[in-house]
Amino acid sequence: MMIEEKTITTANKSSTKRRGQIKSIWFRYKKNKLAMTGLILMGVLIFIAIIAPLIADYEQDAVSQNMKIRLQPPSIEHIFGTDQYGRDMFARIIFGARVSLAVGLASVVISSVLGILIGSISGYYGGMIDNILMRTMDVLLAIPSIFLAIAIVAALGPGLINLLIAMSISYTPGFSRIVRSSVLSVKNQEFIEAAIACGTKDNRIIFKHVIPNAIGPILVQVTLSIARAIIHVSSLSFLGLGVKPPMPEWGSMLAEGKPLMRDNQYLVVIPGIAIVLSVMALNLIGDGLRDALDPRLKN
Amino acid sequence: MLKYIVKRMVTMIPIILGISFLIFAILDLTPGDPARMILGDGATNEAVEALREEMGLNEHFIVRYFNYVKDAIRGDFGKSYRSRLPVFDEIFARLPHSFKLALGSILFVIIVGIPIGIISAVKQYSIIDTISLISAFLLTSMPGFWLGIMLILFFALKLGILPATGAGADSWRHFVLPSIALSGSGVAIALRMTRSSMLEVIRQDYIRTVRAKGAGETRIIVKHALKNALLPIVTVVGIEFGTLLGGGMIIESVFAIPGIGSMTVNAIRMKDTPLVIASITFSAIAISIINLIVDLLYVYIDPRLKTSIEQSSR
Repeated sequence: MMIEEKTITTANKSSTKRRGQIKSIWFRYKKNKLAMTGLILMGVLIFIAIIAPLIADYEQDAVSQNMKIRLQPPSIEHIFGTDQYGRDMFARIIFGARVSLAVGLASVVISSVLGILIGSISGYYGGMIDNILMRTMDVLLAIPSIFLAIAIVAALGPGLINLLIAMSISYTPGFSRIVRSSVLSVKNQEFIEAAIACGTKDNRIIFKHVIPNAIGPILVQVTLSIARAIIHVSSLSFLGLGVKPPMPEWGSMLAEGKPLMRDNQYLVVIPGIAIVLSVMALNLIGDGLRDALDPRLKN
Repeated sequence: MLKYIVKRMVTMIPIILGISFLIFAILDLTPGDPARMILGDGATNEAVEALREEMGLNEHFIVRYFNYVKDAIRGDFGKSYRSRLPVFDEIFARLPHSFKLALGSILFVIIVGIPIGIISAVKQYSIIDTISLISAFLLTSMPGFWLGIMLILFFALKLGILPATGAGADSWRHFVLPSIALSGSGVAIALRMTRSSMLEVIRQDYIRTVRAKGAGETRIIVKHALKNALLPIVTVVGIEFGTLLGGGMIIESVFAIPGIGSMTVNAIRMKDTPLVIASITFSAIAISIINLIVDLLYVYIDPRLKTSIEQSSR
């Protein structure tokens, strides 16, 4: 009973300390105006993506063709104009945000979880396991990630889920590398030694002690990777290897608009701005997070 | 030194084997029968079956992979399923285009990114500094292919001063816009890296000493500061070269340049296994060689590193 109480109090203590740390990170982050701009911009984009069905009708505005109103430049009725099939560009942009943001976010979450598993096992145990895992990752890293993603999409066939799988696989090696090196830097510190001396089990040490202390650089990498993932989703869709038409996606909208851009510049300008805005927001958040997590790094 | 180079070359062998196995396996999963693709839909089943037998497609996957490696060691990387030409001829026919594109964009990275980064550092917090940091930030947030489209829109369609597509054999003009589009993020990264690296160096004591001795400002920056700031810059430029090979593929398709990148994308779509393996392995080898050159450049820039490299090769 006594012992139990003791552990509870220490647990409470450490959780207040943790909360204190998060609070102070947030405090530093808040002071950074650019980082806050990024956060607000991202919030607005996610909000629009979530309420998209309330703003426009997916079937009627974004997918079904209406040749009577094709290629209309931006006006009050269609603020971003209409494309060559008479579909409302604004509706396609906001539904496209769902695809880009969801695939970008999901692929990075999946690959970072895989990367944390592989990287921490590899970094913590070292030796043979480390060698096998890291040499496999080296092979994957040696292939430009976009080639790898294209090859996997080709094997599985185009489509949303396959795109997600391909991108998750191609990001995993990068994450495992980063996690491994942060684990290595934490592993030899004294508190890990203390935990080992207390007889703590390996998986508990990894998940309770090693990863929380190595999470900073990983978190920054996650934010910046989502930005990169959004560029990759649109690149693959631009090449016709992403989502299947008529599903709206920013990259495929650019590919459809490109042959007509001489006379209809808005077709290629607007989807590009959507990509730039979301990538920019995430880059701002990532940079801000890096400064907030480690104030020493700021120059 | 030679020992180190040889060692690095040897460590590339398992990676190359791994890549070829991986691509072989992925393409094997890809739906579609190469024999059927070569003969077309009109071919009889017997003809397809005969060709499958001839190409060795009926063997087990592992057997086929080993046969491939055996041939590759002897220098035979197979023939493209589609054109029936040796894959090496296919790759080398397109290499000049991709090479010009990569070279052009590295040139932009070096002649635009680094000097602006230096100016930014020297005139920290000035208007030039702010503008260049904002442009660098915009460039990193911009997909290269969209930058390419915007460049076509402005310089080719509106002003009509540069060609929009094709890799005309006649001139360098066809490569200007694609090279800028491809170099966009690289310029931004080089600019930021140069700036922060220079800022660090400029504040050091020996720079103050040089200044106290009466050296001119240009001489201080170019001769004393830049030389010591160069190491991290070379690293990022080297890494960028690798991403250029991957990113080149999309730029090549935007500008309709018949390079290795666009060839690889088409080959993957057509399930042209020999061509895909060869071109991806080729890119991976190119990247490793560039990494090796970057590491060797380190020694040239900072001779102190020579000992650590020689130790690691023991």
